[in-house]
Amino acid sequence: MSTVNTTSLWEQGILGERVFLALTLGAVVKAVLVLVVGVIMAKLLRKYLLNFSRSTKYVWIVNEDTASTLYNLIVVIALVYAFDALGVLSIPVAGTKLSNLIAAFLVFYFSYIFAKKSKDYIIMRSSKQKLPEVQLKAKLFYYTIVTLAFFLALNIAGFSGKLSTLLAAAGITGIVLGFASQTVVSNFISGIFMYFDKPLKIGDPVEVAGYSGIVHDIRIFSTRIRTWDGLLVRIPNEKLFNSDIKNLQKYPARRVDIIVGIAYKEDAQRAIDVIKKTLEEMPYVLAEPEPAVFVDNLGDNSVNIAVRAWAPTEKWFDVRTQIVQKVKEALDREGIEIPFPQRVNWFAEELRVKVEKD
Amino acid sequence: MFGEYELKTQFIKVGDKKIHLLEEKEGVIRYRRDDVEKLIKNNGEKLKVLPSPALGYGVRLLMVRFREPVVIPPRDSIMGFVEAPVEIDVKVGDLSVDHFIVGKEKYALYGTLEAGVVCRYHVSSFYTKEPDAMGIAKLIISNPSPEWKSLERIVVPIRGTSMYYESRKAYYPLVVVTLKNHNPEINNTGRPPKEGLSGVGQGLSLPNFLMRW
Repeated sequence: MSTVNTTSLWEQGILGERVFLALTLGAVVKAVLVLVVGVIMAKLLRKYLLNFSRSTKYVWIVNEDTASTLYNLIVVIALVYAFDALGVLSIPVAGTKLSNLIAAFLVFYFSYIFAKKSKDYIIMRSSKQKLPEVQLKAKLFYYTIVTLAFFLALNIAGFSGKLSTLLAAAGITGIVLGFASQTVVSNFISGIFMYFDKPLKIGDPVEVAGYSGIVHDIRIFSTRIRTWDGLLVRIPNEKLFNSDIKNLQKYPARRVDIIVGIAYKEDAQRAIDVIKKTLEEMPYVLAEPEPAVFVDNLGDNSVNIAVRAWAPTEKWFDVRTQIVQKVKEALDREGIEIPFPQRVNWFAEELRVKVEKD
Repeated sequence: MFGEYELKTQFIKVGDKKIHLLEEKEGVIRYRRDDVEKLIKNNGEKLKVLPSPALGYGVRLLMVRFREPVVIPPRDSIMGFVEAPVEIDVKVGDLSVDHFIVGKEKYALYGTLEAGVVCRYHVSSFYTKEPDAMGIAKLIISNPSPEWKSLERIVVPIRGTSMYYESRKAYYPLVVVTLKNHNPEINNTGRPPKEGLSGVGQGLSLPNFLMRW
């Protein structure tokens, strides 16, 4: 990244004029050129990889993800060189140089990407029988690489010698801050943990801390939820972190469960067939996993048939609202009775009815 | 059914749907389909009824389950066809004025409940000759491995795919399925399945798709 040999070239004539503090016009032009060339190279490489992904058999590595990652890598490297041209990288930051910090970040980031891709590939290559075991191994591999990369990055950044000092300082600062603003720090730390834990993200429908609604915003100290009836609820991150969080849209499919009661005199198998046909005709009731319809129990007043149908998570509410109506209409059409509750009363003493005549 | 139509009073039947064009005053055409109604100013441009991939509510994959699994010998291949759902795009110039689904709409989860993906779903027999259906996908299933392989469904990436058509039929691009290792690999080639078809889209292949589940 040294610019010793080219400095003179970029500082001749008009290029040598200072535009801001010690910054010369030549340095600015050089930085812009480096950035533009970097972006063009990144775009060309991405285009090439995308085209290549359409014909290669190594799809697991040559794909859209890899193309985007390499694009980002080249753009970041171009940025670093551009900053280098501006002479910004030699600025001391936290007892080390900015260039060391950036190099450390790059090493950590791309090690992380490498670890993640390798983990995905290991899982993808495994057979179904060995999947749980392979998943565990892949995760161990992933965390090992990330931890090593973390310490390597610390070393590159020049923090390794100062790590114990840093930790001690952080400990003392933590104690002081902890006493001074325990709740605020607790919310902040919980927010950071929540970021890595990712139990919810903005836009997710959730049930948390007794509230149900859409996650409207996740901030450093609190998370905001818009309830279904349009109210804003601000939940401190600490409370959220310690709560049971029910994310209603984390997985691609969600099950709709309903119970349909039919009269004892009706043919249960026929009712099941009618309900299955109704589900088959509903587009958003998933064909796979197949809906389950079965006699669940013999109730007080009816034979209870359980209907368990899977729907795309984002269509769950539509399916839930339609399924009961459509099943009712189908059973009505087929003349299958959905009974009212019935009760037989026995009296300890014989009832006497007095009939009055006009 | 598919193709270009003059903007004048007429019915256009597309599968189980009907488009009604009605000339009104001042060269204005009333476009009607089910509950959709639009007014189109006629400038001599034609109305295009084109096939579109069956993305439904916004999925990116199409799963076709074979009624009977297909079994392929080692180092051999088979060519055939499956019925496939299509959607209809009605355009004037490059503007889409209507988009609708014809035939049955159904979805399925491909993969596990934790990490799967919802895709468009269709059940079809595997035909060795082109079937008489509105939507068709031509497949080449190849087994380069030294073992017998069985295939009971395919999952094809369809978001952004080209489509091909003739008057009464719509075609997905040629799909090549390679059976090797644990996972079939699907290549939507983007190429027309036969000659003489009109095309919609750029005819580019999509990134290969590995059927993990």
